[in-house]
Amino acid sequence: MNAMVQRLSPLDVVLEQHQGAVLTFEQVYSSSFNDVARWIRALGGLPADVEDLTQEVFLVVRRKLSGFDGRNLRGWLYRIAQRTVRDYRRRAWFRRVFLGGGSTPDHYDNATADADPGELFERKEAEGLLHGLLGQMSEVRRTTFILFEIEGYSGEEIAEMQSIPLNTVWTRLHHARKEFTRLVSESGHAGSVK
Amino acid sequence: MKPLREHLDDPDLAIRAGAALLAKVQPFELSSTQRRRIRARIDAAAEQSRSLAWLRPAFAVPVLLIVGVAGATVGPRLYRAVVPQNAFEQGPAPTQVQAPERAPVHAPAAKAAAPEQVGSIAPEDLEPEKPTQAAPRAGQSGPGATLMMEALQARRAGDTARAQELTAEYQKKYPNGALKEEALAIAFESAAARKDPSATRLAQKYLAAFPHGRFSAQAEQVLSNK
Repeated sequence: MNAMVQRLSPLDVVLEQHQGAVLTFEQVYSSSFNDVARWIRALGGLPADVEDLTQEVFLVVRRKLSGFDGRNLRGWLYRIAQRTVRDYRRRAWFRRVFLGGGSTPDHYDNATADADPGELFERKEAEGLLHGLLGQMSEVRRTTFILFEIEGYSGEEIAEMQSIPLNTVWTRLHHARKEFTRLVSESGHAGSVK
Repeated sequence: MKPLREHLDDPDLAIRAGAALLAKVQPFELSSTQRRRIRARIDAAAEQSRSLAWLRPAFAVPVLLIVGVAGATVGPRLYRAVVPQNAFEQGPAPTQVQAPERAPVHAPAAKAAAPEQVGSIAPEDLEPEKPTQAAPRAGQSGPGATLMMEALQARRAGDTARAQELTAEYQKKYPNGALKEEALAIAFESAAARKDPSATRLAQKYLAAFPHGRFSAQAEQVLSNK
């Protein structure tokens, strides 16, 4: 079994089985739930809000599925997630600026409850540092970087979901990596690595 | 392209450090509890919108109809009530200017249309008009109409005594007011609602003044119930 087949997501399976057929909400939901949650996180949704945002995305999906042309489900879902996160960030900014809302931890926090405390602490540290570094990158580069380097999507998948040419993904990734390594060396973290 | 996290043995120290950092971070995944919670909320939201869906046309159409009919019914009445009332409430204002070489002119109209002509009008004639250029506009919701609105509100609220009292006051103040018919109608109707013996007299008064009025059927009904 080659690597590409191993990486076939439930969404791909559904798309292969239903080529040209009308998708039901259940199919879309069960096959793309994890992807949507990960995209939301990669697009900058805070851990505390990923639940709400995922729900919002699927409510939109349920409402608009009948109007979906069936061409690029992943791209369609990604755009909905992107718009939802953008609106959410706008609202969050408004709350912060005009209503003086407190700041929420914005780490790339995905610690599991049953993890070893030492390991958990180390991971938290790494997530905090990573978040600080990623926060200095442009949104486009950061999203592509997270989707590829952390969430493990392939370049082809990213190109499909972002509806851009594959070469653009590689270009963004190339620049994002360069920027990331520069930021790592500037942060002094490189000195702690053997 | 190989993910950066796999470059742990890269000769470049910064790349190695970046790879080490990325290797510590796991892909994001929601727990099964979170999944279930989201699913339940989506289903609840969908159920709610489905249960309310019937309300949209079923609710909006009657509301629009009621608003439209109410607007069409009340609008002309209010308009008619306001305009002549305004004229009435102006009272015997000395607005007729007798200019020797000119035909009689309505002073406010002349002032509004051609303020430059004010100079040719005698100062003593203008004196009472001075305080308000906007007086006619303010009078549009004058005390007469206000009284009737209050009477109507009192009647709606079930305070028939107050409604009758206000209509009586209106009739006393404005015996030939534009809302005389309505005042009489509210009066006999309020009296009838309270089973006041004056209802018959008021209904008769109404029929005498407006034999073919809009409320003559109600007046006759009051008389037939006596």
